[in-house]
Amino acid sequence: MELNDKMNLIEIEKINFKFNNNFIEINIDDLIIKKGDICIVKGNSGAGKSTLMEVIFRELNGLPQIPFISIENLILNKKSEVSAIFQKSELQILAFSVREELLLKYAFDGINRKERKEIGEKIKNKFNLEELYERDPRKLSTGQMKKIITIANMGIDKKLVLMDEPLSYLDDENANLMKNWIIELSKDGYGFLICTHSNDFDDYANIEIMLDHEIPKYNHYNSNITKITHDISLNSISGHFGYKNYWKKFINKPIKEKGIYVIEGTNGSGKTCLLETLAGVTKEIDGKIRIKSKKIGFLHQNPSYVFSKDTIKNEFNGDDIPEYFTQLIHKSPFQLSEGQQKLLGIELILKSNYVCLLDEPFQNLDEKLLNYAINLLMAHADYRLIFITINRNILKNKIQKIAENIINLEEKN
Amino acid sequence: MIIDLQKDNNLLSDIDVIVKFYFFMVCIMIIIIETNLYILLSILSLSIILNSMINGLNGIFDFIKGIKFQILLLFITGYLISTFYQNFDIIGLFVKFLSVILLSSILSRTLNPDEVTDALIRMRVNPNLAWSIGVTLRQMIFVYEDMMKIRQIQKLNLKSKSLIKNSEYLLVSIYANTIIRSSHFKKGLISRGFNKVNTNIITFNKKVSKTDYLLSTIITLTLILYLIGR
Repeated sequence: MELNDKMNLIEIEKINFKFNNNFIEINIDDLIIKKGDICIVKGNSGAGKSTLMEVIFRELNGLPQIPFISIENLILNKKSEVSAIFQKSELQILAFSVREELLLKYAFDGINRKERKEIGEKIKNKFNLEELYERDPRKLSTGQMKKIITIANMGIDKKLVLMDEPLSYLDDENANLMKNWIIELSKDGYGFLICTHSNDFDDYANIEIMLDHEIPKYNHYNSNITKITHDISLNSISGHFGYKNYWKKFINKPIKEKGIYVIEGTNGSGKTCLLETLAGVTKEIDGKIRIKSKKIGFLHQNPSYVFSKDTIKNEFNGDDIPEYFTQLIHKSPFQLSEGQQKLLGIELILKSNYVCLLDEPFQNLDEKLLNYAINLLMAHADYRLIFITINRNILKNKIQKIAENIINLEEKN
Repeated sequence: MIIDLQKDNNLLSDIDVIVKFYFFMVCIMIIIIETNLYILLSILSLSIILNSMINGLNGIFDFIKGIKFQILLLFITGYLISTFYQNFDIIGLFVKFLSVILLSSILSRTLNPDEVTDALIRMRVNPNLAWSIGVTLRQMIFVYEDMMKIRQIQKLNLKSKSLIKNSEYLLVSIYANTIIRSSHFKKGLISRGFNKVNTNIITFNKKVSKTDYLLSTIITLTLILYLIGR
């Protein structure tokens, strides 16, 4: 790309806002993202990265602003089309087949059917989507959905793309594919504003914004671990699990009464399905996989499914509130950042359950929160039976110290 | 936790949506005007056969188990009405109710919102209206699935199995998650450059086959014969 091609995609003169129930304040001055730029926004969980992206997206598209922030200054000029892939990207699904999902943007752009079919073929081949192309996106794993949504949002016009944790929930292979593609697109003329706490884009970013804020002290987890007597009688899980009439996988693994089991595998390898089967939410196809217990808790990949009260204080129901959340007690759990929601979900599940099934509990946690969560799990390992799923080797290396048992689900996609 | 909208390897999924609509409308019309129990029973049998093709017989029992409250309510209401009007046919009402439910289930299980949008556009409905109907159906399905997921997860976490005791917590979660989903859906649309819909919004639309023409003819002939017979 020639230097004179470097047209501005967005000019931000001033963004200045603060959270209503919090002490966090965001100030951005004179930020210009040109064609080919990769701008990364970094910061701790809860520093306001996603909110900043949301504010920019809403302002550029004329949507009403987020209710729980006070905006003082918001001066920006839109110079190109804007697409956004949010953290909960699986909620951005619009169609009921992957092929329609991928081509909907082109349909909105007015491209005719014949050309769209050709584009679809190219996309399918480029991203190895042969297996997924005809499937219903709702039946894909979160990582696979993330991949599809990201591809579906790009289109052919050079524009600004806002991305929130673009590599979360992706396995190593898909994360590399996605990262390389983003870099390739930026060379091609797209501009990116990427909110992340990982270092994946550090070497390729030409603008870096650091959102710093001092979050509450949380180095020590609550040491008063409730001891719960177990009521499980299963000493091994063995049989086929999967979605009936769709796919099935065999598992045979002895399990102890307590400890941490790490379920690893690529996107679509059946990690979530295994957890759901252990919980009894999905029935095993044959054998005995379900763990019957009155004290079983399940943290879904979308942690907001676990919350049921209006404030964090009420979520803990009068029990001791962990140090990290003491300054956030009057906030709604639904308003927390994704990383904070994950941590809250882990705390709530561990608090009152003996069998704890945690689906991707470490996704979207920053370095400090990740270490905190690992320590928290280690502290509970002697009193609980914990199953966690992971899909990236980076995470695997970090949690090796707690993983006594690894259940590896062979690759599917 | 996902509503299986279209099962592969069943005859019904290959039939054109417009033909399915047509069949449904004809059946509903007959159910409304007909009082003869034998004809109503034959429609019920047909709907059971078609349903078993999709879900199997166990699927039908599960489905009926799922609507047991509605059936009970219908019987109580029917019984009360029959005490005032002696000619009131409670069995006929029950058969009609079950037929409508099973027929609707065939429709909802064998077509997805993309196909409905496509079919409506082919029926010369304004593309924007067709798209809106498709979007509404989509959201209904997504919200229902979210509700099911939340219910199952909260049921595990809340321990108490009583739906009434847990309803307060369930409602908070369902309400908040529905708002989050709707907001993301809107942002998803904007993000893809949604402005207005053109007639070829669905890329891989179904083509009408000979079987569809044959079925339409059979349905029309049956309807004509039925009306002449009356």
